[in-house]
Amino acid sequence: MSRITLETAELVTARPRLPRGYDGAMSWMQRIDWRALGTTVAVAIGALAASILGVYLLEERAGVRDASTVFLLAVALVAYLRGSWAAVGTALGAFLAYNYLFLPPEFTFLVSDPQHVLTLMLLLAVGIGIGRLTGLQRDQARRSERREHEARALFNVSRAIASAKRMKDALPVLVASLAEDAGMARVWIGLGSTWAQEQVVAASDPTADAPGSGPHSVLPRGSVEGQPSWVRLSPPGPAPHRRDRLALYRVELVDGSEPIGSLWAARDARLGPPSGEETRLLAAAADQIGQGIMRDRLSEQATELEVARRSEELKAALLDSVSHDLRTPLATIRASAGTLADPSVALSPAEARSTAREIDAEADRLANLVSGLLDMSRITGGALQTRPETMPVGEVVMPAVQRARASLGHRAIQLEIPDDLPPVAVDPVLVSQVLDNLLENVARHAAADAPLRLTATADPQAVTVRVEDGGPGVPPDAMPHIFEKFYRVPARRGVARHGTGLGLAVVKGMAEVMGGSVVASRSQLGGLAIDVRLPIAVPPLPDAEPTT
Amino acid sequence: MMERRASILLVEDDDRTRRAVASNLEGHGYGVRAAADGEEALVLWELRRPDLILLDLGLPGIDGIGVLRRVRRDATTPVIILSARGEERDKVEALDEGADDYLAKPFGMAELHARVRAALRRTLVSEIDPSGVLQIGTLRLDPDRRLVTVDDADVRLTPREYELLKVLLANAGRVVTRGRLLRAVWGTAYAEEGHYLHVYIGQIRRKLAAADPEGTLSDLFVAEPGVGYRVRGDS
Repeated sequence: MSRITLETAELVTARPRLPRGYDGAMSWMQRIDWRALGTTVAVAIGALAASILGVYLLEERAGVRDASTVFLLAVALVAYLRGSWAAVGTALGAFLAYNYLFLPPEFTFLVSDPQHVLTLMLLLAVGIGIGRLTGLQRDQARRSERREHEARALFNVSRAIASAKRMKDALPVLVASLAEDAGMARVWIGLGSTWAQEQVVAASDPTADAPGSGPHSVLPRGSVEGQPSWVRLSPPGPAPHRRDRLALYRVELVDGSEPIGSLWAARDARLGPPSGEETRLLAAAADQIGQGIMRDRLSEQATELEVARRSEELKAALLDSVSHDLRTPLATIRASAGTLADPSVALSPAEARSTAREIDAEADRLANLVSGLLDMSRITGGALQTRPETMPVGEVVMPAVQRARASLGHRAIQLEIPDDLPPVAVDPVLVSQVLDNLLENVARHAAADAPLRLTATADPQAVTVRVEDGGPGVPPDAMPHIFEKFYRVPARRGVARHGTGLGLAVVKGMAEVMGGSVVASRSQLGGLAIDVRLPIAVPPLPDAEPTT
Repeated sequence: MMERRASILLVEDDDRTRRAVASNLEGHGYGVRAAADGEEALVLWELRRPDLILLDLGLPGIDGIGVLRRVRRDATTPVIILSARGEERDKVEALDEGADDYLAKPFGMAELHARVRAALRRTLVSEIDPSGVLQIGTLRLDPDRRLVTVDDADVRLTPREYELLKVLLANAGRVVTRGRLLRAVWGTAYAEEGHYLHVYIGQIRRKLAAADPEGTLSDLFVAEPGVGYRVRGDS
């Protein structure tokens, strides 16, 4: 409201296309449509001239005594083309022309023969009658045509909204069909709490920038009933120079009573304000769009709630899994320690040592789980920082193999790391953790004699290190999940698996933090193959030094 | 095997860990003094001058680094840092300040013994060869002649590769931090090329491997990711 007090507002009444057949005359009273008037006059004069020629030929040449009915044809024609008032005018013109040109004394408006007076009156009365009747019928047809058009346009709006899942998706189609149906050069939708701050979300002509400020006419809410009228707003400040001479119209989009944006329309200023139907169409569309946008927002909120709920569920499931993984080794540790501490249990020194070793192994398992959890929480918490250094691929792979040698046992290890690979840009700590986890995975899940192969290949962007084994591999349906947190490949019968379900998730997280990626596939050795892509270092190498 | 019991100062603030580690080390024949904080540790250090210090970094009062600096003012007594995960930066700082090795908690007793033994052996043997020659297995580095040989065959290294190898061999068995390596080889303005430390190590590794067909030196360099490198200390 305060907005309008700041700006000069003036009332522009929409050019109403009202029923009762008055549309031509009424609109001239509002705003003379010179072009339409000119056309009407031209049509009427043409029709009259043709009739005059016809009457002349019939009466003067063919000897017909009274050919005045020819004028009725002209009246009917004008009525059909230009409406009933034009027809009445034409009837008057016919009355005058017939009198002036054909009734003696010719070239005067005097009539000598009373018989002719009767003929003239008949011509005028029948002419007006035919004109009015034909015109009314024409107006009737026009009206139902317009109603049909309006209905179709509204239907287009509804269908566009109904057929899209979300309002957002319907908007592009909607603005295009509105531009056409409401006779607008452009239609666009802006969202924002005030019209000056709106962001355009859809436009019928995306290439043209939408003039979103400056003088425009707004349709006050509630004015749609009865006579729709636009209120002209001239915001302070210089009016933008508009070469294309477009007049802007705006209908507010509301949620309840809160404005959420506007439906904007621009049309050639020479066409004048939108008609009643066009105004009603814009208002109805704005109503539906406003509601649709609010529905979108509500459903987005609902989706967010759903996502939050699912993530809560997931967290609960993870917590369950972690608690279980923590509790299992703890149970063993407490039972073993309790046994060792119990004076009534007589253990041989060998038994005592084996019990203690059990405690040690379970504690180790706990420690693994805890470091995995710590790594995972740093990855998901975004706390993991990467400090990339230039590393030859050999310096990435060899030390990892060296570290894992004890746990890898006596299996055959095949290394195919060419010397001429470009160095990679990786964080030494993270990349070590990645390879340690991959090798530990092999040590844990592939049989003690299953071969291990490490290969490295380069493409222009990255070096791919493949770690593969001849172990049992991963069933195809488990393959997509192996990088998920706490996912463990279902154990085969008789095979105990002691993974934490974190190793590969950590591998993936750390590889991605370093700008790399991981992919799993089936190895030609029979087991699992994991490809780790590591980004190539730029610049690749230091300048060569001379050897001593 | 040992003529006298090696004495160890264990500095650890957690009572249970301290008791368990101390009794284990005593069981293995070491003389153990235990301290629960930095002040007590320094008192014991002044009184006893132990052969080795096991030092936890997160201590109440004077922290581990403080104890280490004080010890290093007087002596080269080997110090093994006991660090918890998440204290990586402190660990590297301690190694830069002259600690010899580190062990991440939770550690196994077998691992602890291995590190203790290695550190003690180093103090016994590293009263270096008077000629200054550094030797590990078949690898020999003669600083007077700037000569590196494997099984008496020359290995041609660039000046930087040579310096790197020398620093690592001189500290065999010890972790040499990245910072110490860079300062020793590139000097203080190392920022630019220090970036390529791994590249130089890779080149040395390759040249040694070419001169060592049996692969006896293949495990010579041990990478300590994020910390530095060490050369394995046995001979």
